[in-house]
Amino acid sequence: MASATEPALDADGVEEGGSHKDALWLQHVQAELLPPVEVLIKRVLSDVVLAQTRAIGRVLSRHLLGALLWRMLWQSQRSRLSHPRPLAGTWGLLGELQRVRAIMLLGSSAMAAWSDHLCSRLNAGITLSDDAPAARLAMFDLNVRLHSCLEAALPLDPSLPAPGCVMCCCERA
Amino acid sequence: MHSDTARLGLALASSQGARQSLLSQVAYLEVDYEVTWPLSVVLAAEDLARYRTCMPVLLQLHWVRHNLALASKALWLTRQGGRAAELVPPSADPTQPPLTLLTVADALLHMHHTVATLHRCMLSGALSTAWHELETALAGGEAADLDDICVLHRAYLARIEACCMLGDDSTSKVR
Repeated sequence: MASATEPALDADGVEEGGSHKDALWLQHVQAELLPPVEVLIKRVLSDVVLAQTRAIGRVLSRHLLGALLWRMLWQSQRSRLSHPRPLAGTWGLLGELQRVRAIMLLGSSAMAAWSDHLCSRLNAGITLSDDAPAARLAMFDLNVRLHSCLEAALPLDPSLPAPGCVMCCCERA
Repeated sequence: MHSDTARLGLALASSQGARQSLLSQVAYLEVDYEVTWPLSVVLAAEDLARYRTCMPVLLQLHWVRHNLALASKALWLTRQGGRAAELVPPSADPTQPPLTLLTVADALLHMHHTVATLHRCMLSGALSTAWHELETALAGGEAADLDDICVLHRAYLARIEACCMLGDDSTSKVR
């Protein structure tokens, strides 16, 4: 395609010197071959829009890929969670349940010792109220004794297999 | 020192306990235990709250049993020291026969026996029987997925509540 900056040539390839014929030819070239300004603007805009569309597409595809990967990861975790054996065995559900049972239901010698301490403190006349300084001291004492009893007697390490954990045995087998 | 004890905490549920008896105040004691993920899916906060409702009952029974044992011991020591009459309260109703050391000791013994039996029954049911049922159900393959484990755990909690006479059908058992 001829450019506007190039010298105009006639049919024989000779540079023209501004005759009427040349002017007509130039008009013809401009009209037929060179796109008008609005067409150029539309083309540039379309290029910009296309580029933007491509960028949006890239972003969207990246997000879609991320969402897809996230969904795959979530599904794998969900299937892992849904499987009862890893939950009970590897993650120590039964061990945790045993710990809660030992603490909340006083099912350990440590909690029995703490209960005895609580009884002796109650018989000594403590008041279990959160608005008196003496009661706060009593609660602090009960808290400290609770922790010391448990640290001394109860295996709280979650990595330890719980005694009698049937699912752990199944897991190892 | 085990780091897991940091997940434990003892608190009072309400300040209203100050106006009540000591035995009632025990009901306001709460042990908080933080369960980490993913075990918190099964041991959710509402499940821990159900554990917390059972704990005061066991603590109250423990205290009553402890005090009855102390009273029995004090009665025996008093009798050994020849000061039995100091322990026997005077009868309020003159038409009734006067209280003797034997009647007081007998009543104390019966109360201690009843409370101890009740305490043992609750503890064995909540600690051993319910746990054995849960273990058997899990090992028997009744739990096919996570929802089944949650259902089994809630059945285990309901069993514990029934043993502690906190379930819906507990009153019929008491009668």
